[in-house]
Amino acid sequence: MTQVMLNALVVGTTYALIALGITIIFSIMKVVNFAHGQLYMIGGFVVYYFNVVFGLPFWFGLVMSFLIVGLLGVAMELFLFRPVMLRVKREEVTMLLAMGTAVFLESLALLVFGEKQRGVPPIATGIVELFGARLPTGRIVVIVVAAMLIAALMAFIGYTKTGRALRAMAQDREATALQGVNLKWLSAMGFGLGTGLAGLSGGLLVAIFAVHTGAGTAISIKAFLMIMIGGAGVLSGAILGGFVLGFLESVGYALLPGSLTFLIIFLIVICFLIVRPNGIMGKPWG
Amino acid sequence: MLEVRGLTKIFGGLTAVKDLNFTLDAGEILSIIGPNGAGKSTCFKLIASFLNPTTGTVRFNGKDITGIGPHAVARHGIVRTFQENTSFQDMTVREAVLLGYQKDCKASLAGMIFRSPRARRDEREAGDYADHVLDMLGMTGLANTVSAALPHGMLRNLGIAVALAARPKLILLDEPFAGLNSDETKRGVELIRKIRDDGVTPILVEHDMTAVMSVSERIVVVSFGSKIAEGTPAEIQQNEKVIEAYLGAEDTEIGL
Amino acid sequence: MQKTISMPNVNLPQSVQRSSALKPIGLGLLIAAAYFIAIPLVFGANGYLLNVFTTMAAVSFISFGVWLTFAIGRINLAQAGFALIGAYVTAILVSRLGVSFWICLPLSGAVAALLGGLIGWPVLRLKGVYFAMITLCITEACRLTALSFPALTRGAQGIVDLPLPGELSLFGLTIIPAFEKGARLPFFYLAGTLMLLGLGFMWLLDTSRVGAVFRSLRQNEDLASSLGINVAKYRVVAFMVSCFYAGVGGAFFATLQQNVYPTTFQVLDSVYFMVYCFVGGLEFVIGPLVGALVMMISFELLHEFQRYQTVIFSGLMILCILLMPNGILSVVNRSGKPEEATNA
Ligand SMILES: Nc1ncnc2c1ncn2[C@@H]1O[C@H](COP(=O)(O)OP(=O)(O)OP(=O)(O)O)[C@@H](O)[C@H]1O
Ligand SMILES: [Mg+2]
Repeated sequence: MTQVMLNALVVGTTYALIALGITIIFSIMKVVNFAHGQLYMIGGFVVYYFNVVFGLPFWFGLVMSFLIVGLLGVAMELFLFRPVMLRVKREEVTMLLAMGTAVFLESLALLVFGEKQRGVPPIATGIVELFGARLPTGRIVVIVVAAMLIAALMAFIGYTKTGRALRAMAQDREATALQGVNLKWLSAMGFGLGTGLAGLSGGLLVAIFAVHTGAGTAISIKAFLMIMIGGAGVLSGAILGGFVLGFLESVGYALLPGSLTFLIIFLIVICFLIVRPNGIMGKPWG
Repeated sequence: MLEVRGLTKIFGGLTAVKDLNFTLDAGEILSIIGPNGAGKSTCFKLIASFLNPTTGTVRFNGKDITGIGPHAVARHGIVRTFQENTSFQDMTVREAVLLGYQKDCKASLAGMIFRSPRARRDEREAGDYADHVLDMLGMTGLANTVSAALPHGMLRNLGIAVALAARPKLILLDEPFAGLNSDETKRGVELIRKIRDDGVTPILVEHDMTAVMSVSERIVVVSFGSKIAEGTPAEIQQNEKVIEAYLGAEDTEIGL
Repeated sequence: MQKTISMPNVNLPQSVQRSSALKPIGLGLLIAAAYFIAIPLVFGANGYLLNVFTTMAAVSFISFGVWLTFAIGRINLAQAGFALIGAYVTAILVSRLGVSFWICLPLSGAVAALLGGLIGWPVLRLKGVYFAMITLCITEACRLTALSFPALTRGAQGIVDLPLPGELSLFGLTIIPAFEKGARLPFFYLAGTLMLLGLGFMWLLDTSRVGAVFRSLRQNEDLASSLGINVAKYRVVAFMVSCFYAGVGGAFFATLQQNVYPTTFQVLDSVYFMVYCFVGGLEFVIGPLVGALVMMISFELLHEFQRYQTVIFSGLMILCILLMPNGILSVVNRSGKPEEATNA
């Protein structure tokens, strides 16, 4: 059981990171980024290329995964989402745009990266015993790094000037604009931060799981599950959703055959949403 | 006709409506007034079953209709309008009013889709009734205008038209005169009398005191969710508690 | 002007209705003629192209359902899931019990509609992004179900070698002869018939009072319910009709390909069904058909780019959204609605 709980912790922290990224984008743009999983996948490949192909340190690759995928997000906001959102009559179009971007990125990745599954050499060796359970050191490192990143992100959003402006924008765009904040640059940055987190989590997890070009959709679906559980647009909800999903998944995999786990998770989430349509922490939305 | 007993609604820690009691006879024009946030709209939502009361009952013509759901309440003959401008954006005025007739359509789903004779008769009746309603509200000329293109005053009227098209016995009008100029308000007052003479009992929530005093036969005053006074317009204007409540809320002057 | 000719106002709407009914019927006949006569005449010899049109027709049939859920204001990404359900119902019944395809076709739709009703009842309370995400999960859940119960579905191996549709006869009278092996025209005609029937029913629905109720749900559920419209019931009805389309379409594809795998319909297909609706525009019943036609033809035109096909295709799709964010047919306004006919 301790083993399962520790696994849940590993998966949960990284999932929380994924959910935070998609939540940031959702809360400031009111767009669900369907390409989140694909950005995660690209982050994984960035680390693979820097670490394995170019032979640079893993940590350097990790920083680059954040920067590259983040810049990709900034470009997406500036050249795709903003011009479309300004003109559409129906909000669904932006969702469609995100889906189109997802398909585009995935097929492009297939061309550039190929079909093969890619991984990186272990970032740490050895096995740690914790409360009677055994965990590879690599995973411990991943948990610690992910937890530190979450803390740093929360601090950034909670206490820095930019972070506060982001939160203000999420609540009321017009009012924030009136205070002289440059929304244009801020929302591009927020979008970039969100996608950067997707890249970062992909880059971090490539240390444990290998990545392949088709991994995106599954990750996107998991991200949706997490924000539905936690409540869309709420940062604390995203973290919570990440841990809940990580827990359910770890327990499920320990007890059930593979495909059944997620089937049951889907059913649980559907039933849960009937009782709480806005997720655990979510505000009425709609 | 309508009997509200001990109606209470608590939102989290906030009691929006507290132990509200009043009754209403058919053909009477009743107004509910009170400062902003007093719980008037919430009271309407409770009667129309848009919200479930924490405690209390609403009876209509002897039947308990508490919390049975908005469409069921409408089918009993109670239709509400909305405080904010509410319409079907992309529909023309006539289409929206036609839709109001929906609950009186007798054709089955399949009948409607495949245009059974029943459905066609429904449609004819709905059309006639829609024209009658539009005529009554003086909106015949706007029948083919898309709702979104209507000016504010006509949009308020459309809200009433759509509600009337549902052929209610009791109509709950939430601030029907909000944002209207004095001319439009005067016509609105006439309209409410006409509605009543047509056999539909109106209840108003309204801030325009001149209008309220001239149109109402009885007034219920709520403040912080509780009823603080009830009586004829003349009685209400003299009532100390009422004046106090309004002054306390720093609202506009009451009465004349 | 209003005062002097106020009398015809009562009669006007009916006469307008009658004349505006002719145009769509004419359009329907035109589509039928183009599909059933022109395409076989021109491309009849090219089996591959005939297949493309068959797929196009069937795919637009499924997309009509998505269009209907858009009409009630919901973004439905469960369509592929319900198509998969329909495909499996047909595959299982045909291969295990030897049930005739002609019974399976409507039956698959009915099963999908029934399941859609059961799932839809609670799920349809969600709106906007939440509904989109949960329906996406439903599609994924359908795939996982197909994988998880191999006793029934044979898991990842899929159900293969399905027989072709047999003869359909009534009182000894052959209505449709048995499909021959390798013949493409029967499937082509079947898909076209489905498409036209589907389109016709959608048109009837959309122009009826039920269609007006559906549109009212998208625009304002609260107002609709205040008028005595049972919002929950109508939502479920719309969703069930949508699932019926999915189920029938899925059954068709299973038979066309003579096999079903858990991956026959997946999330991406749901996305494409939605794309077809968007490209064609959400204002018109015919939108999904136009969208499917445009998208599938452009996809085929990109065929020679081989492995770059999908990249270019999705790139063009993004470009399309950038240039025409409101759909191709958005250039035309919803017809028959003179805006602000009278102004004082
Ligand atoms: N859904 C809700 N959740 C929480 N609080 C609510 C909700 N609806 C209303 N309230 C609160 O209940 C109180 C009464 O609101 P209500 O809208 O009934 O007032 P009102 O009398 O109609 O005011 P006004 O004249 O401004 O329309 C207010 O304080 C409001 O903030
Ligand atoms: Mg109010």
